[in-house]
Amino acid sequence: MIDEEQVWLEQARRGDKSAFGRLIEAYQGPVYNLAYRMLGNSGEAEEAAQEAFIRAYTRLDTYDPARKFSTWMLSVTSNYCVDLLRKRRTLLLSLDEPLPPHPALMSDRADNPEVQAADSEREAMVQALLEHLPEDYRQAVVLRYWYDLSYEEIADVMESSVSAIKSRLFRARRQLAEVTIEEGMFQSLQPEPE
Amino acid sequence: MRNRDQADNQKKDETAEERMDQEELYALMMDALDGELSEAGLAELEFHLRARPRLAREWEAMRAVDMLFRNSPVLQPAVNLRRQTLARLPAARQRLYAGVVIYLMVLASGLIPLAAIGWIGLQIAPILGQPAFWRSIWQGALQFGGLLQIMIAALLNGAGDFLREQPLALAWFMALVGVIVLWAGVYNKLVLQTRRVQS
Repeated sequence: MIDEEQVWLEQARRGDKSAFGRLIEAYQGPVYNLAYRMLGNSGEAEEAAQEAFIRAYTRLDTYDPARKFSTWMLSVTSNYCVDLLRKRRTLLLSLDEPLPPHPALMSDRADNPEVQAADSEREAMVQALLEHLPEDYRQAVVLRYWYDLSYEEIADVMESSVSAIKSRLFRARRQLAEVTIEEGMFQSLQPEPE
Repeated sequence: MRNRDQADNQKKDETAEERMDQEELYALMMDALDGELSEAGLAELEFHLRARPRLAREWEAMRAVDMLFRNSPVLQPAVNLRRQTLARLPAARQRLYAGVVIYLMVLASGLIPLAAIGWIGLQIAPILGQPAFWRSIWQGALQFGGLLQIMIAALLNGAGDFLREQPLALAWFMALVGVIVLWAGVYNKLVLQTRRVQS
């Protein structure tokens, strides 16, 4: 797979779009998921994933083959999403209204409405929690939980130091715990009586 | 009674001496969440947390969030991104041409003014060295001064003639200025007084 990937990369670098298409096929899931977790909206995530692939294609010359392509691709995507979130914040767009459930959750297990409802509820909770985090904390959390990246790999993607990543994850986890307690998100964690 | 116990426990948690323990406990929690804490370490963490209900709640919350995130799948896009993205990819040749054009434009934006200044300088340099050129400049300036003088004199003469023939125009102008000054005074008086009352 890695060897094949190197061949596709080499061909894509020479302008072979179909080779790049294979890379898109291989990475569309992870790239889209990262965009969705960061942006919290399926339409925006699809657009961001496409844009991330286009950016990657036009910057293939800057890709260092010593790095894992997946890490580089995630780096391009997450940086693009952070830019989008910053623009969104500057434009003062409010995302207070509830986001539509992810289409995959509505179609994949449509045969079992109970499971589907539970999945939708869980995903809504996940996104609600992620949206409490600042962009850089959210980025670290998503890369840690959904991609199982090590601290070193997250530091590589986010172009930061390992200690900074550890600190961000620690603060993010504490912040998330605080939110769940304050908002009584889990039944066993109802807010403490005054 | 239970509330008082909880408050006491919270105070205990926050004593300076225990703050260091707290940091160590947080480090253990992070290790546990990253799957890097042994069974014995986890047992030790839970033992210490029994005496610190606030921290224990926070730990429970962290574990719940951790479980929630770990059970959340990697989502797939509803549509195949391959076809849509490929349709939007710029062609390599076009990218190359676009790059060359942008490079040339950037280069030209700096070079064209420099070249223009150089060319103008080269054209002017031989003329600047000739005394006839400076003489003609001086004569031109004198002629322009003379022309200006004639124009000003004509304007003043015309204005003088007009006032002699139409003295009412001057009176009308003076009256207009008077009215403006008067109303400006009234306006200032009224507005300034109102502001003073408001403050």
